[in-house]
Formats: sequence, structure tokens, C-alpha cells
Amino acid sequence: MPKNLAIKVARAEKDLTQKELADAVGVSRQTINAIEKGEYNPTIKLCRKICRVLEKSLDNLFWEDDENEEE
Amino acid sequence: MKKNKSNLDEMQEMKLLKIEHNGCWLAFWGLVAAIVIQTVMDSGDFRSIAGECFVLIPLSLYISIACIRNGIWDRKLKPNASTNLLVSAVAGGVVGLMWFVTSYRNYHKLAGSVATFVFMFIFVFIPCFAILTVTTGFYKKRKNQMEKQAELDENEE
Repeated sequence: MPKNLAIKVARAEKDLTQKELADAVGVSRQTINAIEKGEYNPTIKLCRKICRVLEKSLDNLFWEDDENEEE
Repeated sequence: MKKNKSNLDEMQEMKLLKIEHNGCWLAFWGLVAAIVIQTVMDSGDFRSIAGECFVLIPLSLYISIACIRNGIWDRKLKPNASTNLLVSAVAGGVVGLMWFVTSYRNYHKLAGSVATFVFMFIFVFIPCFAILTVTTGFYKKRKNQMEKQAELDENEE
């Protein structure tokens, strides 16, 4: 799974650390770290929470180009 | 080499994981129940529960080690001394009660059975509390390691 740089950028725009984002969406810091590193595929519920906190759309944060998408 | 394609879609995969999860805990508590029943029925003869222990101990070790390595403790219980005390007391109480019943069935002496209860309670409570304290320490150490790794990952990019 490719790294999710969009979340990292959106988080930096909001001046949030991984810990602060994790607390805001109610997960552990390891989970946010794993999502950014592309090691964990979050549920749609968690994706929406992250989008709400970072004030971005699902497309902005989680859309992948066809060539990056894995079966 | 091409990976074997799964026959399941993602929803079926989640359902299968749930089924396997339920099956695992059914087997776990089934083995615990079998040990309790056989201990009471066979007057605490270890040979009658050796097979169950042979399966239950590796299963428990696997679950404990895998959880600690991944920085996971429990869904509800907190990794602190008061919870460890309570869990150890419950474990000691259950084992003490088993041996109280076994002793009373064999000898019909209430005072002796109560003494057996107290002895077995202490015999289980102390090691249980010690093991929980040690594993809580391992869990906290592992969680800190993961926290530091996440911090490094966050800073390096």
C-alpha cells in the first residue's frame, strides 16, 4: 500500500501532530502512523472522522490514482 | 510468484475473521470449563487435564505474546495494579472454590475444605498477580517503544 502523504500534508496545514489527530478521532497514535505509512487501511468510519477533523473531503485524503491502487 | 487469489471478498473476509474469533474464544473457554469440570470430578488428578493444558497453555501464550508485541492489552481492562489485583483475586477465588468443592466431596470436612480454599486462593493469587505485574511492565515498555518509533517516523519524513 502506498504512503498516504495527503493526510500528512493536511495534518501539517492544521498544525496537528499525529498524537493530536489521534486524540481528536479517538484512536491510538500508532494507528495514525500506520495509516500515513500505508500500513493500515482504515474503515470508512475512521476515514470520515479524519476528514472531519482535517476539514477535507474523502477524495482529498483517500483517493488513489489507478496505478497506486492495489487489488 | 503469483499470490493465491482469495475466494472471499472483503466483507466475507471480515465475516470469516469474526467466525474464527468466536471459534477461538469458544475453544478457549471450552477448555477452561473442561479443566474445571474434570478437576472437580476426578479429585484434582492432573493426568485427566494434561491434554487440555497441552492445548490451553500454548494458546494462552500465543495470544498474550502476540498482543504485547503489538502494544495491545485489553478492550476493557486497564493495565494497572488495582485491576491486576482484582483479576488475580477472581482467578484465586475460582480455583479455590474448585478445590473447596473437590475437598468437601472427598472428605466431608468443612474446616479442611475452607483451609484448602484459602491455600489454593493464595497459591493462585500470588503467582497470578506477579505474572500480571510483569506482563503489564512488558506491555508498557512495548507501547513506549512503538510510541518512540512513531515519533521517529513522524519526524524523519
